[in-house]
Amino acid sequence: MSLVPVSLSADLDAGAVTGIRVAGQDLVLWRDEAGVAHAWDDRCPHRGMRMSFGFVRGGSLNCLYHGWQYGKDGQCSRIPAHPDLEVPKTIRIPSFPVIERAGIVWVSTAPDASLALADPGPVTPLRSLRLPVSLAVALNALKALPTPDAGGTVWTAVDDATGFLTVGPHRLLVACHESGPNAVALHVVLLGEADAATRVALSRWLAAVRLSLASAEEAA
Amino acid sequence: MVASGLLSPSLPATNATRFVFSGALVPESFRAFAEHRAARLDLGLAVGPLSAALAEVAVTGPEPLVDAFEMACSLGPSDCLILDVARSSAP
Repeated sequence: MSLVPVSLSADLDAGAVTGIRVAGQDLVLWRDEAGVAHAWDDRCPHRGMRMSFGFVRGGSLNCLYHGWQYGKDGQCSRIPAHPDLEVPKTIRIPSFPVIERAGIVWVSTAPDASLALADPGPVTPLRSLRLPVSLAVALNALKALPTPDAGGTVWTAVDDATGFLTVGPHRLLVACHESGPNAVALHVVLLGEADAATRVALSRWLAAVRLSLASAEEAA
Repeated sequence: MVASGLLSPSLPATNATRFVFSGALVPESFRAFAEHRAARLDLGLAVGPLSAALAEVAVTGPEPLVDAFEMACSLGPSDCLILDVARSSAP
């Protein structure tokens, strides 16, 4: 099983907590204050509260409900209502593999997951697009977007959900995650570095995929 | 408080907290739930008589975790309705 892209690294600040869905399972994605990203089962073992409502303190994620504190390994380390209690090792949140590569956070629910994508070197984050269509429809719309120089785009697939998109002089990495029948996220970075004007122009060009999908829907 | 006559002699007599959960139960569902919660909280668990009306269990471990076990089982699995909880410590 492959790791799937869930966020741009730049969109997950230190101390940030968010909910994601991978392989039909709800996970909490969070970054500790040392900058390391973690993906866990989105459920506090105490009362089932979503940990994605929790908060980060240093290297731990704390449940919003009763403040149970979990260290980087998912082990409960402190129960505020019983500060003297030695917390059993059995109170632990399952954790999953996380890799950051090409400016993107990749997660899997399988312990032996791998990532086919080689490190492309420095990248510039552009944007994540979340679209209410299938992966195939989203990719087709992206590839068909008119480019500023009318030269068209060139798609070079890495696998079914990842590829490089050449747009004029720019080469983008597009990593897709289909989390449901009509729910897909496209995480896009630019290979190499770029000035602000180029980043803005490419980001706006990418956002036009929404309009093209809406137009296609109206036409249908 | 439950009458001592309800408690099964098969359950541990010392250092255990005994519970009788009563209501409308699916016995095997409640047993699985109690075993899961006890394992999660690292508590010792002995399960006594189980029926559609009540479940009798004894647990051992730190009191705060026994309290957490009681809270969890008083809510129970989704197919069981717990109407009353009787708790007693071993003499």
